[in-house]
Amino acid sequence: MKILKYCLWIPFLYTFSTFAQPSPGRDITGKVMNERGEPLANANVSIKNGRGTVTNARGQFALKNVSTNDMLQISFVGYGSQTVAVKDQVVFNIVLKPAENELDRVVVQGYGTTSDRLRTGSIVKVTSEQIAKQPVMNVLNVLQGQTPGAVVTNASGYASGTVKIEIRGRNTINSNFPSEPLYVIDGVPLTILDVAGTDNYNNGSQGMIRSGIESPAKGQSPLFSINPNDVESIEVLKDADATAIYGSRASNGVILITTKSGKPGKTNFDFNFYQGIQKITNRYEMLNTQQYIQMRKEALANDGIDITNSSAPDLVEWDTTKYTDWQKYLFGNVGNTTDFQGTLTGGNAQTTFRVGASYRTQSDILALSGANKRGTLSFSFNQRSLNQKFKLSLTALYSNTYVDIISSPGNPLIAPNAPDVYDTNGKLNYSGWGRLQGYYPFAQLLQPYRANTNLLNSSMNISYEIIKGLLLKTDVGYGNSQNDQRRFRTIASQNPRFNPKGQADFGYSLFHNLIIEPQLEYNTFIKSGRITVLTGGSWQKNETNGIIQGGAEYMNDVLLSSVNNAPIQYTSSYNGAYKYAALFGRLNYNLDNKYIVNVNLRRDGSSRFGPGRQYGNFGSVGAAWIFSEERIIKKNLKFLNFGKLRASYGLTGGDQIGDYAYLTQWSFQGNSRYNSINPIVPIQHTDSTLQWQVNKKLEISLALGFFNDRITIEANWYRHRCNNQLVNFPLPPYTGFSEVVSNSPANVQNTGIELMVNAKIISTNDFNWSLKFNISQNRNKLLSYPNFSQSPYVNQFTIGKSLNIIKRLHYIGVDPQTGYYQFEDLNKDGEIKIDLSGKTADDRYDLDRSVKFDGGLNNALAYKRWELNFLFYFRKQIGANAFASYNTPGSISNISQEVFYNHWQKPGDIAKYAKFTTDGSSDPSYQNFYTYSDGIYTDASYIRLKNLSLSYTLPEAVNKKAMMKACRLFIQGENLFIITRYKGADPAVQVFGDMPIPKIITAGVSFTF
Amino acid sequence: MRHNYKTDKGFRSLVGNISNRIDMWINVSKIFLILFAGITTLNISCKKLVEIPAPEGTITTPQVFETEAVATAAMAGVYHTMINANGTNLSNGAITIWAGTSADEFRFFLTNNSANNEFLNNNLSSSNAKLQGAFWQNGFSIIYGANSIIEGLNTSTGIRDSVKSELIAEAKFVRAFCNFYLTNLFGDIPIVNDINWRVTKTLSRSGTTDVYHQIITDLMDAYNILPENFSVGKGQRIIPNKYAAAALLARVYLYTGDWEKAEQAANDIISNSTMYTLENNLDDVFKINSSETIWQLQQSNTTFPYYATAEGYQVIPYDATSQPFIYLREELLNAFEETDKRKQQWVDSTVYANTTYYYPKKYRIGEAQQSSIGEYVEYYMVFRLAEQFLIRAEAKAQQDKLIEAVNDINMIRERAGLHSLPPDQNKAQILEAIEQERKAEFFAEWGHRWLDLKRWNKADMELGPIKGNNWQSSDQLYPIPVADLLTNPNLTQNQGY
Repeated sequence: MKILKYCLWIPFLYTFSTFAQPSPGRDITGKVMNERGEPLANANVSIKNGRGTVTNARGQFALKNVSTNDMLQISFVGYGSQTVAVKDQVVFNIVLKPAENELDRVVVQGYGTTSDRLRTGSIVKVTSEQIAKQPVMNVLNVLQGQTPGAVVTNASGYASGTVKIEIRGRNTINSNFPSEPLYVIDGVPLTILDVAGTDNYNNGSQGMIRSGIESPAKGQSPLFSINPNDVESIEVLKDADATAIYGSRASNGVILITTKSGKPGKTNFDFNFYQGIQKITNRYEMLNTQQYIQMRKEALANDGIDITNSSAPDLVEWDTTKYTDWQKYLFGNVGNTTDFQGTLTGGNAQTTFRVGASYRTQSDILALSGANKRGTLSFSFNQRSLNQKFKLSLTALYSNTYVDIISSPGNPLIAPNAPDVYDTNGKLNYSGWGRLQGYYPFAQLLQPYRANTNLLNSSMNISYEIIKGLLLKTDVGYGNSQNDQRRFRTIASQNPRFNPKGQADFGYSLFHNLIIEPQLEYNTFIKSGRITVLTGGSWQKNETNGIIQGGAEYMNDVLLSSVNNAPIQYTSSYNGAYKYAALFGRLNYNLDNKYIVNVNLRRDGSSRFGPGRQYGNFGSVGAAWIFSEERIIKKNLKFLNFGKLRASYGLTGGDQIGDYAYLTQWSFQGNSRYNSINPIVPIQHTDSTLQWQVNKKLEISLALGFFNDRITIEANWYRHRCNNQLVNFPLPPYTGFSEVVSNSPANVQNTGIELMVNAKIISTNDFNWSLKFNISQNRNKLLSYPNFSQSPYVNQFTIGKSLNIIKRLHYIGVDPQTGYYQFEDLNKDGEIKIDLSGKTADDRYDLDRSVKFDGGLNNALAYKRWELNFLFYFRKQIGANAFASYNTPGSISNISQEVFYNHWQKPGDIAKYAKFTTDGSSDPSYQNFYTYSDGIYTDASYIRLKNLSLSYTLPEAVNKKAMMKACRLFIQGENLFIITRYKGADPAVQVFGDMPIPKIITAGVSFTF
Repeated sequence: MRHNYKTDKGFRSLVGNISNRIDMWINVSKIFLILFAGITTLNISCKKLVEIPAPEGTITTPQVFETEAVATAAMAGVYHTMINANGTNLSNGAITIWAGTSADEFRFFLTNNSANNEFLNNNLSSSNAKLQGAFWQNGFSIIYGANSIIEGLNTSTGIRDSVKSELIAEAKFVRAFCNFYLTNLFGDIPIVNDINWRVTKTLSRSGTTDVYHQIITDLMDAYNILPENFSVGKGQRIIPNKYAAAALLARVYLYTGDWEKAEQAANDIISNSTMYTLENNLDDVFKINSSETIWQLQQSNTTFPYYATAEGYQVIPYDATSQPFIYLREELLNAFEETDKRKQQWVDSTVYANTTYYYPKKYRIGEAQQSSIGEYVEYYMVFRLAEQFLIRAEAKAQQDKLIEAVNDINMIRERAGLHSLPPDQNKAQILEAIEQERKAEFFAEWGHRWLDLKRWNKADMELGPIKGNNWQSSDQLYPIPVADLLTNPNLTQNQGY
């Protein structure tokens, strides 16, 4: 409250000191409109260096006592501003044109809009043009390389898989909660409760899937259900000023998704079609059969083991001349992508509409499976009353997706001479694998997984101008999703020797979100400064339900489709309810477009905390000084047309924990019985004093524009500190459970810099070349922790160092004499000792796995009707190396050529990898190397050609003949190649052998009628 | 005049301007301040807005201890955790298999599982998943359940005192049972008698003397309150009664060298021959409610693996040509006397790839026999009468009641089809005979062999030669799991790890 008072006083005093001036003038009136004749409400109309006013709903304004010498300045967010000399004119009709300058384009912020020029917070925008260039199925993948400060990682190579986004570093000290930002689609927060307790930091949220049934894709991204073509813009809100209006849920940042709406004018029909393929990008270099057998024989010889049926069935029972390229078998599929889009837009001054429909299919590179289908409908409708005072807008997105996938069966580590997958009868070849049939890895081939999802997201906004400048608004949003999963463990997929039975799981995940947000906004001028006051309330209710129904002991695979046919049936459900109430306010004061102060306050209540601890206060102050508007700069630094210094500080909160965490609970154990009683067991430790987590965010930023904005630069420095954070606090398991949801006293700091440079290098009528570059770097640090030596983290973390540190033995090479791995004797006691408790051991060598920096470089070239765009994404990091397959080189498992050609063979060899052995536990150095040393980490930095698109727009003359308004042909590519020294298929997928991220190449055409 | 007028007007407009602006600011401030004043006093009025109903799928602690039925279900939950845990855990087979392998009973058929090999080779690492999950964590989560019941019942008002004290006695018995195995496997352990994690998270390990003191206290409480009959288990021997407490007491006294009390406690059970007699046929010993049963755990027949015990499911090969999970070591096979029926009836074999493997077959329902349909054939045996005979024999021998000791041994030998030992044996011979008998009677049962070798101080002597360089005397104690060492700086690791 103190801060608020000061802010109110500053402009107040200012008005006292400068109001005295003669005002011998006349009263003027006018109207501000856009090119289409739509009135612009709440536009700024001010006298240069003097008073101002805002327009009413009809775009009208009136100013008293205006002198003939005065200059009128008219501006509106998203439009270029205009300056008009008053002279003798009394009535003004001002028509503003949409901003050509990037700085003045609309940027969506919480509960409103602003522009790059005027914003006091840190917001990065991705436009629909940028989205359209990438043929991705999940719109979040567009963010990679284009939004500095947000690290985007795919949880799996499946199209439907979840996408983990981390904004400005890791806040949480332990790994049980995801670092998901808050997603808001057209004002409706996408809240899905983790009712089955399946989310964590490493894999992120499970998204739509709440039944507890695991998806082969590790969850399903909710944004997979959104058609990228329906998205007008994505804004990533990062600092306190931008996020504090979302209060408690903004600690990990906010992603705003705004969908497209109609525009007045002729009705357009757009049709867009493309078709493409997906292929594996890189492959692992694995051994062929000859090399494999050499490896096995060498390992057996090293161990002094005779080759017998029992010691080496792969060399005795299996055909040693057979070769299968398992990568080709598994990932060799060429996936197909087909995408249709149709939209109808149009309207007049009162009414605008947009209706869109799309259909897309995409198959994965995983052979034999992987169909993803999505159909969407979108609808947007805007209506204004004749007097313009009343406005209504409705948007709705509806989609259905269908995912039919299997888990990746086995991986390239299968021995190259392994027998066939199918036997001569077309059945799974268990018996052919002989003694090793227990390892037959292809059961998954006949264990289908299907998920059918409907998503609805709808919102309604009503606004009414009570008096000039005072708007009453209400946003109502409703979202809902049903996800229906089926997973079958068929009898055919199992080893027939054991008389298997079938199993089927049916999972249902449902969520409902209702949000109501009444708001009051007041705009007026005080002196030459415009003030906007917004106050509002927010009430949200969410219910999430997960149900799993299953049947076991099925006698026949044809019966699997219904649980009724199962001799044994089981069911369990997860239900969660979440309510959330908040009041918020924002005060924005903009003096002469030169000095801007922005204050946010929010009071939040969440049902996730116990009685008496449900409410918390959050807020921020942001200020910007556009120093290029100062006369002295304008005069002396003509090349500098824009310069802004801004800073913000504030508090945001977090309640991203499970529901009812403060309550001791017991749960029933399905249909188990003991002594004919249905037993109940306690399920968690609880902390009744749970309260909000608080993030303190500080940011300073400098933005510059040179030579009429041909070059713009923005540099941000931030420091986020997270204290009192909500974590799954680790406890010694002997206490009953190994964790408790609690507030940890750890203070975690993320500091970083972000740099964005945009340049229009060449700009002529025929040829344009522009370049966008961004890079960001985050430094994570455990700042302080009271009584650290008694904390559960004392052996895991170090105060002053990153949370992504792991403590390991330091690997120093292979012993040339013995061929074993060697490690540094850190404590110099003459032996290598691992004591994970860290009291005496050598495994204390810090290894920081944080991403060092990442960024993107985008080039856009346009020559006449041709456009070429390419985006490189780069990332500096370390990752698990080619050894990290876990299976000991020499065992019945293929290895990479890198290891094969660089391993120790005889005394005296200086080698990168140890000698081959069949038993990794034969010498502790193997296990130590894999599990406890830094030796398995290597540089995994890379530069990826993330996106390439080439398009050609047909000339007008051709269009006319074909009765079209426009036509465009295009080719697009995604993940085309990688430059890296990493020895694996893809440095972004560091689990050796996992399905890599495929490349997509598409070609298409778009028509406008 | 004009000038004056102008000034006047200027002055008025000046005043007007000031007051207008002040008004405007006041208005703006008012809107903002009123709304925020409202916000700050919203605490009470807004509580409703964020009220959610009680969780649907679970019940809260006060609800649990409101009624007898639910409180009894909570105790059933403790047994459920003991017997139905996923896979084999502390009290449904893991001790039999893994502690037996640590001793000289078994080998694993598959040799590529390093977690298993660590048990076989006595090279346990403190991060061994089986050790952490199945032994330590499972044991302590059962203790947590027992503590929750003791604490919940102590503060509840809606339950009859008789029911309350009976349930508390059961819970204390289970707590003592888990502490017994934990201290025998890990040595010094934290004594956890509280469910409040703020209290227990920095506990130190207590010496075994203190742990045994706690165990005996709990068992005496249980012994004094638990009913003599099987009424709570509705006639089935699946809820511990007074004699179950006595059985564990007898063992505890034996392990701590309190021979007289061990004899008494065992005698207490043996002398009640209306309830407890040795089964004549070895095939019947492990069946449900066999007359030898002191306490059995009842696996749930409605969840996988249904009518099979977790141990039977794990240990019995699918058929006579399938791979076994574990097989008996030569040392154990050769330890049986020639005509020992136990070798004939409790051991079976499978031939895989021309090699014969012998596996324990005390339980008969395995993967191939289990079904979701049918009826119970066997429960999981925890305490049986045969042990009490051998406890009494050992306690008597130690007190130099040699002839009586031989009689007790012969009860077991006769049932196994072996000749009786002559009465004229010296103490050392009798103790040796007890070792042999325990080895043959309790093989593949609750890690008896592992615990016996340790308490007799014979582990080095017996295991050293067969385990080779892998054996160190410090291997007698398992390491404290790393997860606990990491999270509680007050815990120390055992010697040799």
